[in-house]
Amino acid sequence: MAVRQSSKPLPILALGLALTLTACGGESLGGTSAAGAGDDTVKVGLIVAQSGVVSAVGRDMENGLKLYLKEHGDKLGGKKVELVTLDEGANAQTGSAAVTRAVQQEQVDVVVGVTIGPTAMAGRDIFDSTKTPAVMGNTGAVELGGKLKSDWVWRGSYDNRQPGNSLGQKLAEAKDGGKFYVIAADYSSGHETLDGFKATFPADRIIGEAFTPYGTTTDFSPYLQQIRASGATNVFAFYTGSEAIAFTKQFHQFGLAGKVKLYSAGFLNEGSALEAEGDTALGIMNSTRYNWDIDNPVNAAFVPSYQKAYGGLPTVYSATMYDVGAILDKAVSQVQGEVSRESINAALAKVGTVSGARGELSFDAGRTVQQDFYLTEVKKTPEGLRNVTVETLPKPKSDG
Amino acid sequence: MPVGSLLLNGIASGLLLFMMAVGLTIVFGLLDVLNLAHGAFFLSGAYLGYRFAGEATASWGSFTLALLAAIVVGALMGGALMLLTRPLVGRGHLDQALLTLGLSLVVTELLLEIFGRNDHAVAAPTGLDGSVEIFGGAYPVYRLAVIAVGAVVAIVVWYALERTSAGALIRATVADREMVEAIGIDVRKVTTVTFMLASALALVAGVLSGPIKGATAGLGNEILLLALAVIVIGGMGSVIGTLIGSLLIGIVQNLGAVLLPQFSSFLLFGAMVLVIVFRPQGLFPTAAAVER
Repeated sequence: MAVRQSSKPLPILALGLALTLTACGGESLGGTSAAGAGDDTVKVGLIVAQSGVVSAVGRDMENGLKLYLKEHGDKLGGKKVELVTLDEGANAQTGSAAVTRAVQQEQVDVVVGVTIGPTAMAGRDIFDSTKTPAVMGNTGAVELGGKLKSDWVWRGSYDNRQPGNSLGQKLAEAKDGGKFYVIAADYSSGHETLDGFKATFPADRIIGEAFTPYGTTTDFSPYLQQIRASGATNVFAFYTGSEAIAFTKQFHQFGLAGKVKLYSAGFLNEGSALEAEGDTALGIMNSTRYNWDIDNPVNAAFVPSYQKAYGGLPTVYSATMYDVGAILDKAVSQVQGEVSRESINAALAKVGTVSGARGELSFDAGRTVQQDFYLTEVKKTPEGLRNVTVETLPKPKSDG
Repeated sequence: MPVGSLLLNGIASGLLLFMMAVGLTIVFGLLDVLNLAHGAFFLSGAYLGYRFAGEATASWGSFTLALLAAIVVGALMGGALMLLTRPLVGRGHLDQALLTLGLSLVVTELLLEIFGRNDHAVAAPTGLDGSVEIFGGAYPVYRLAVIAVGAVVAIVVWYALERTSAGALIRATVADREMVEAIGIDVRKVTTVTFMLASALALVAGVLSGPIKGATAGLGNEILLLALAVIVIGGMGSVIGTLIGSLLIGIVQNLGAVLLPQFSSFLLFGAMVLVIVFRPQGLFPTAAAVER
């Protein structure tokens, strides 16, 4: 029989699988050209995801920092800022390419941002070996404060264990508060978040635990049915982005909402996720480092300014980067003599307490920001669905 | 353990996967084009669902509109892909794979530019957005509807390919292109129409999956990966094989998540490895695919 084209189907299918698996996040780098930084300028490398699956978070981060710079005349500590924005993409390959370019080609004085943990982990050795200070504005990878600690990496964001740690302390107080089921995406941040909760919440009140495959779970129904069968009256969950939306909606669709109280480590109903979730998010509680309505003078000015600039409420992502701007501002203002990587890093070590949109911030000995956490609840307000702050949670304990 | 509702879930996700995978398998098994942009087509459907049906509540009209738009846009995208791959005929699968993978990246990024970078949900039509009591717990009505629609689509696709003269023409084109040309049939027309139908089906599956999976950038690759696994398991170009492979994967995923949670990611690809080792032609290969 005539054959149009000889082919071996199996190898080519395997090739297809391999290409799909490995090349998913191959976005190119965007950026601006290099120009030598003079003595009275500080060259800042902003690394955020501008393309790919986490680019919504990256956009909020970029908005936060840019708003800070705009409000302060494009200056940090009195020095003119030369900002280089590089696209991190959605994985460690594209992320570390952006880091390398910022550090080696663009020769920035300081790196800020970094959307995802894998970029931070891959970039850690680059920051460390080139002695470039890097202030993380989103990821809370625990190892950056532990095994992979570097004199040059600052977590201006948080530690993944903090939200659960704070919430666990609060919930442990109510002895009759019922049984908990804990569930998270199966990757480092998910495990670390649950670790934080379990560090302060009694183990005998946790009756079930599940980790869902990260990045490939869009249907949570088998897990939700497990939760229902377990008889838990409360759930503590960690999900972000599209997984947060799917989890929230399906939690409602499978009839758990209203019967089982859902607590989350922030992010579950943040920003545009809440718009997508709509009323299915009502009543969900979050432990978060930032909410639009928290009461402090910086936030009182930040929220309207952000709304005016971008037409929506600031998110935890944008507020954190706004704060990173404030931290860097104070650090650079304390630099004695020439602005350099070394002098900025030394100034970060002595920056003390900074007033940010999140409240009073300071670095601990592990270069991790110390901050308050807030318990919020999704409520109907005259302006629509909102996360509303209920109370300030106990401070995270220093070991986690 | 709630086996009943887990099985229902497996069937619902399996049938959605079938709608996506059957187009991929027809285009690959029958037309010999490996279309890695098929996942991006599916994603386009999900975004059309978001645009027309909205996020919170959808009327039947708007949801139907989304489905119609998916058919039209899908057919156009399929036609465009046909034109793009034509120069590559005879240059092997690697060139096709690279071209269509590149296309999928471009389409995905374009979708983010057009529909915004936020992750989105898609509403189910009124009346299907609630839950019913089944197997001792609430179960979303929409998933039951997906099972019904998916079953109908599966039967129609099978009947059209295996029992109609148009289907016979497609299969004949695969088996012996020269002979079909010799009896005066324009083979290009046949392949173009098949391409358009397969792509339209992917977009329709995207719209239908919207209320379950939402519309978010990573969805295309996730579903493509599963569909490729379905084809390996089911055998290329086989409608029945694709259906059984899809249902198998849907059910394994749902039951595995509960029974063997720590292995749930591996179960699927473990099954695939077994098939590759012991039955490299797939469980239900078509005659045409085997002969090649």
